[in-house]
Amino acid sequence: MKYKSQKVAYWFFALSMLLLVLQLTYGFIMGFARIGMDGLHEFIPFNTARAVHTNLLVVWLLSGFMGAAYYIIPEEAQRELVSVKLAYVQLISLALVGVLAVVGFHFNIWEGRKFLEIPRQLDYLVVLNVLLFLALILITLFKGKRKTTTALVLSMGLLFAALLYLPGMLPFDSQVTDSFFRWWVVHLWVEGVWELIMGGILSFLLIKLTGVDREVIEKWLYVIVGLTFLSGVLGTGHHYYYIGVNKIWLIVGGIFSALEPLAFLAMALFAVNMYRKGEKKHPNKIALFWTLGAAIVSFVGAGLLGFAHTLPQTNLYTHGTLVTAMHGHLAFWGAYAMIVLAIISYSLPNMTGRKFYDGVRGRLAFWTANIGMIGMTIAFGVAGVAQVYLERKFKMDFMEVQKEISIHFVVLILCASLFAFGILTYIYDFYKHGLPTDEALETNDNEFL
Amino acid sequence: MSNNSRPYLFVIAILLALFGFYNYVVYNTDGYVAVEKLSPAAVNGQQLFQSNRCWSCHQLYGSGGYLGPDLTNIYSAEGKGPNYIKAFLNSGVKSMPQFNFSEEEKDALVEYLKRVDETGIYPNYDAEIEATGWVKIKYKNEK
Repeated sequence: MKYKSQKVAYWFFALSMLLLVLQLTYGFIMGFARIGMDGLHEFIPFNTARAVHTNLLVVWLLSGFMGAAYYIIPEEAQRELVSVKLAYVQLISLALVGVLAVVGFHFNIWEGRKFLEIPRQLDYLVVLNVLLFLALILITLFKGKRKTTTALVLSMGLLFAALLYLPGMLPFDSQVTDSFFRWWVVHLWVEGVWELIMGGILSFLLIKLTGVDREVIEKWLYVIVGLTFLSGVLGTGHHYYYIGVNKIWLIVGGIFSALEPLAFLAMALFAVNMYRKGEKKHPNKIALFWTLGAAIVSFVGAGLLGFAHTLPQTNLYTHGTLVTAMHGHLAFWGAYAMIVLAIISYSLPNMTGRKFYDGVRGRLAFWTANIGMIGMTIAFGVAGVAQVYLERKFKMDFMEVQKEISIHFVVLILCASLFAFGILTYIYDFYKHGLPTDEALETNDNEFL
Repeated sequence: MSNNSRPYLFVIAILLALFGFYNYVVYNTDGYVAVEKLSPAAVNGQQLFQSNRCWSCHQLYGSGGYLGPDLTNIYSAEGKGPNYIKAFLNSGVKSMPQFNFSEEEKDALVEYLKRVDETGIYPNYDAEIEATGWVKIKYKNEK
């Protein structure tokens, strides 16, 4: 690491890891409930487990993105963070919001809309928290010695993510309008501005890991930003096919959703090309694994599996089935979880000075987590396709179909166990790196570090 | 702000403005069905639906959980309807808890589901895939 204030990132990453473990735990509770082992129902009913599972996903990823920004922005701007103390205040308030939300869910305190479950009072705390975060990042950036495209794309992604939280707070007295604007938050986050955050982190990592010139890498970044906006924004239409808005959304959603894989394809090509082009090979192989893995798996999970059911012709049958869960799991894993794990793998040795660059633990974590997640995706996919045929084609009753496909949830739990083993190995590796220290400061100006 | 970043911010601002304008035009174009406001009772029902986190298991318009059936058209489905909805709320099933709602609350939920039923159809078994590959969706109350 080049600046002392970058150490703040460590604690955001630690919070991420903690929340990730909790997210997995609640995922298991849901998985077991699906096969009838619902012993915790009295204390943690399915709706609580699901709200915790999906909201923790968002919060641990956001914590990871924030940690990434606190690590990347000082280095890109070539100056210390404007206030380390306020960054810690922001960290504590983020953790507090997370804890209050999770505890509240167990006492039936929530707003209740999918992905936007946290109660309105906590929404205001989130807004304050994010405003503080953005202020710290943007002031650091604009006071810095340079404003790189990588830093600007990352910051713009974070800024738009914050702005797009606001439509979800507006009250509507029409269910159609409510659904319409809820997707502005959910869709435009994950298929819009979060892609900018991913692109920014990916660009930073490739500059550091491959040794390719910044100019070359950042030119690719423009292409990715362009494709993301071109396809992702109007691609929102694929959520509007059946909600009661104008039918023109079938055309708009169909066309622009079909273009959405292009941004992910560009990212995959970008990462692989830069790796092949790079003459220098950074010793941190594990970070490279996660970086290239994120670019490739996101193309498969978000791009291809998304495309597989986004056109109205197929979506007519697959919308709202477990096919969606199949796409959702691999897409979030590839595009956002893996990129957070990549920046952690890169920055951790730099912050702690313990350079476990290519250990067995790191490789084991990477492969078992990925194989486990691919297994989960297949289990969801097979269950989803069976559901489509039985329920949508042969018109079997919904609950009858659920009984028929419940065996796939046994497979899902087995694969999830392998995935959890990988994640726990990763976290053990994180723990073994120890705490960040000023002794790990580097004085070399070389970008390839 | 550096001169280098200004063109990008300008392009982003233009894109956002176009997006806003496009949404405004599309959303306000006279469609197949008027987007009606929820009645006060239906708003109460919506709040109950949300505060009891029904979305975790059920879906509206195909969006929500995967444990229970989609409820978009449960109000008008053959063999179902208001009494069927109330019966489920009263008794619950193995995977769905019994809710101790008052009659007024149950009426509010039914009213909410009635309004949802009027605005969308899901799963849309009446949709047609034309020879060209295009999908024609039919709605209730279509003009």
